[in-house]
Amino acid sequence: MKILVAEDERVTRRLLERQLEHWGHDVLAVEDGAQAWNQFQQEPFDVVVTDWDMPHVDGRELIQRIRACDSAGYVYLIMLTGRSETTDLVAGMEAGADDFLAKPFDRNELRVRLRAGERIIQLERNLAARNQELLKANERMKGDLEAAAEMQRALLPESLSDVLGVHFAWHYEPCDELGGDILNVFALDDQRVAMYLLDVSGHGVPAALLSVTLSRVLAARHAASPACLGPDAGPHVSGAQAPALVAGRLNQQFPMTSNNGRYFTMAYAVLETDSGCLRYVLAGHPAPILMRQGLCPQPLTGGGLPVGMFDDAEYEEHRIQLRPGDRLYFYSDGITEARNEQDAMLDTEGFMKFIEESCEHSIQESVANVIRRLRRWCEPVSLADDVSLLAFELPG
Amino acid sequence: MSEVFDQQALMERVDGDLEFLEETVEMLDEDCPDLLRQIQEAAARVDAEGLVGPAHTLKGMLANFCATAAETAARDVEMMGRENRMVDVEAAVTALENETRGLRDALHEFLEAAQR
Repeated sequence: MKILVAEDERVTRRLLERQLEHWGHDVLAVEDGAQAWNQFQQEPFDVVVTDWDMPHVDGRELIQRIRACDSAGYVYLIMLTGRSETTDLVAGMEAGADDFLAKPFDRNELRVRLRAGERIIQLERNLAARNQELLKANERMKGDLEAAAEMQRALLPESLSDVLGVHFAWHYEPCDELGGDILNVFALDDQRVAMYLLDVSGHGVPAALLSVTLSRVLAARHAASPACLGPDAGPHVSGAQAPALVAGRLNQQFPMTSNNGRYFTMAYAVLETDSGCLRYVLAGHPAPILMRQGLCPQPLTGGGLPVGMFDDAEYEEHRIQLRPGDRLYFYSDGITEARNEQDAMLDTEGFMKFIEESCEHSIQESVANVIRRLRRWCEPVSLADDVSLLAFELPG
Repeated sequence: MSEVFDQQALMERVDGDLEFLEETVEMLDEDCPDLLRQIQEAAARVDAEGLVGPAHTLKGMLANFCATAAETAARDVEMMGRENRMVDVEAAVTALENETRGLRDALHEFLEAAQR
C-alpha cells in the first residue's frame, strides 16, 4: 500500500517509515500536516498515518481536509496519539479518522491496524467497481428505455391530425420513460374514422410492452380486417368498424392470465363523418366527455368490463348522433385521478370544468389548455400516472 | 539500580539493527538539546503554553527508546504546562534534563558495548 506518514517528531517518524518499508509498503514520511496535505494533493495514498499535535496543519485539520476532498478512492486514516490522550482520540475519530495508534507504537498493533485498513480499502474498491458496473448497466438500460420510448412515441398519430376533415388533437404523457397508455386515430375508409385510447394496468416496461403490442394488433386489424378477426365477423361488419367486436376479440386474445395479470381498459369508437354517427364501446374505461355548443360538458353513457379480466365478458356497442361543432374528449384516468398538494383528486367534474373553460379555443388549443390547467392544478405535485387525452371536433 | 531504558524492548523495536539504533540515537542527540532549550526558556518565562509543545515532542521521542523514567519526566513537564501548574516547573525541568542526559549516556554506552 502507499502510505503517507505525518509526524513532527523525527525518531517516531523514522521508526514508522522503516517498519512500514520493511513490510513492503511504499512510504512517504513528512514532518508536519502542511507537508502531508501538499503531498496528498499531488499523489494518491491508500493510508495516512498522522500525528495529532503538529505545527502548521495539525492532525485534526489534516484529517478533515482529506475527508472533505474528492479523492479517487477511500483513504484509511490512522491517528497517532499518546496513550493517555483520550480526548484527542475522540476528537480524531469524530473528525474522520478510521483508527488510532498509541505512541510509542507497538509493531504488532500497527500491523493489525494496517491489515484492517487494507481490508476496508479492498472492500471499498470492490464496492466502487460494483457501483461502476451498476452505473454502466443503468446507463445501458436507460438507453434501452429511451429507445423503447421513442418507438412507443412513433406509434402515436401525427401531432395535428386532420382525418377525413375531422380535426383531432391529442396529448400523451407517460409518468415513467414508458407508458401503459396508447392512443390512435385512423381512417377505415373514406367515410369512417376509428379511434381508441387504452390504458394497460400498471406502469413501466411490462405495461408499455402490452400497450405497444395492442397498438400493433389494432393497426393490423385496421389494415387487414375483417380477415384478422376471423370468418364470424360477418360479410358486412369489418372488424375494425365494429367497436364491440374489437373489444370482444381483444378480450379473447389478451386474457390477463397470459399477461402476468395485466388487463386494460379501452374506449374504442368509429365515427361516420358524413352522418356524425358515433359507435363506441367502453371497456372499463372512463366515458368520453361530450362538449356540445351552448351546453355543459357531459360524459357519454355506457360502460363495460376491462379487457382481459373475464373470459366471458361481453361488450355492448353504444351510439350517439353528433352534431356539427360537437367535441368529444377521450381520456385516461391519469387525468381525473390526478392529485394536488392537498391530496384532493381532480375527478370528472374538475376535468369537465377544464374542458368547458377551454371551449372557445380550437380543438388543438383546447387540449393543450386542459393539460396546462391540469398541471397547474397539481403543482407542485407531479403527475403520478400516464396522462392521455384524445379529442376531436366534428366540422360544421 | 533499574535500567535507564529497557534494552531488550529497544532491541526488539529496532529488530536488533544496531546501525539503525545508532541512527535514531543520533536524531535524539541532534534534537534533544534544542527541545530542552525551548523547555528551559518557556519555564524561565513562566510560559505554560510554550512549555507544552516541546515537552510533548520530547516525551514522544523518549518513549521510543523504552525509557520510562525519562518519558515520565517529560510527561510531568508537559502536564504542568497543560494544567498551568508552574510553581515547581524548574525542578521538573531539571529532572527532565538529568533523565535525558542519563538516557543519552546510557544509549551511547550500550551502543559502544554492543559494537565491540
